[in-house]
Amino acid sequence: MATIPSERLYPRIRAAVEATPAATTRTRTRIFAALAIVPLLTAAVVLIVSEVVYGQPTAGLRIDVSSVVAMLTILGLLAALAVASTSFALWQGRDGLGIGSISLVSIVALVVPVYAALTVLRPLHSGAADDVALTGVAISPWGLRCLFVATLVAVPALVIFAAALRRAAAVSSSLRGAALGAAAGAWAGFAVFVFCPSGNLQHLLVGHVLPIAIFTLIGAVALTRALRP
Amino acid sequence: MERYARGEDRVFEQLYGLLAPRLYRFCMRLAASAAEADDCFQETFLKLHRARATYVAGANPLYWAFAIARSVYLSRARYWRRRPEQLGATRDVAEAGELQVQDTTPEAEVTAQHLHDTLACELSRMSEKNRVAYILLREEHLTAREAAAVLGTTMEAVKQRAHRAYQSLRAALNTAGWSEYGNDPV
Repeated sequence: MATIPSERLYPRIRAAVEATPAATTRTRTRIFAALAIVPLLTAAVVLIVSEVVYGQPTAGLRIDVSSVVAMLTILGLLAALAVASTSFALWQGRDGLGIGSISLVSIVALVVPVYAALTVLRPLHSGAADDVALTGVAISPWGLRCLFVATLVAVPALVIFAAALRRAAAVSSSLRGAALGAAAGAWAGFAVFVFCPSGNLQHLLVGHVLPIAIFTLIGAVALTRALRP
Repeated sequence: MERYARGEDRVFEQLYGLLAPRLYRFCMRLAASAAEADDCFQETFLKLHRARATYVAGANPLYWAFAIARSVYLSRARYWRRRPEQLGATRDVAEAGELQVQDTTPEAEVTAQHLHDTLACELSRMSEKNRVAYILLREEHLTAREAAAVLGTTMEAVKQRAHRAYQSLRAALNTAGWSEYGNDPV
């Protein structure tokens, strides 16, 4: 069996390589840029939208908050969830092949339940803000405004993550896409937590938790081809 | 590879010289025919070039290339599964005769050819996951950790897959009359 490539292959490969442009910006640089841009983008979207809708920059942390300690604890844990899921999903590892499939599956499987456990099981808000009289703003029980805010954060985050890891996932690219989707969803979840003072269970599930699951699926479907070499 | 990743195009020839022999052998083992292996090999190099900025300094470029080659092979397999095409008979890569027999009597040649056919048939029948794990561990001599990184799975899974592949190859060869304690037909 021939175990060395035929000599006629080299000129063909050489010609194809010379005719094909290749990016030279290192992936590590793009990952650091993504890790810097996404939190800033999230903060900017929340501050602007919250100011526009509620007339104050972080309505979810100011209106109808039952306990400041609980609020700060949950806020810290949600930030940690977003940072950790993003870092693991973007991590290239020493082989340049990323983290293993079990770790990726863990990210994909854990982000939604952890977020739901932190924000839905014992809601920070009593639900008083769902009454128009308190805030002067009607909050939809279906969380449409929060879905919109989540999309405003998650879509650019997903694009930035895809650009950071473009052609960099030779292994488990679908799972990597799903993990990046979950990370983008985690940032979206963090944003709606800061933005929204609702304590309505249906609102929390549809407007806050569902987008994370949706963006995890979108990541798995839409990012796979972009991530493959 | 680090210099190439930094954009030094002139080191391509050197890189090709270092990677090509083992990468080509890997593609030959993955693919069903020599023509398919050639295509897989060319596409792998092209993708390696396009993805060179993603290379992590210090990583083994050969294992990274293996991972890209497998990704290319799987993409091509998915493509051909969606668009099946009936091609004429082609020479299988395993048919080209790697086993060297000392005794070149006609009987020995027939036996060797028969074992070859059995091996080729069994390798093509087993799942891609088992086959690749077997190739990486037994033929390319990667450690279980390195093979697990290339395949994006755990070391235990790689060992199990390679073991399953080894067992099915051994069973097929035994059925064909080969004994691991001697080449006399059972």
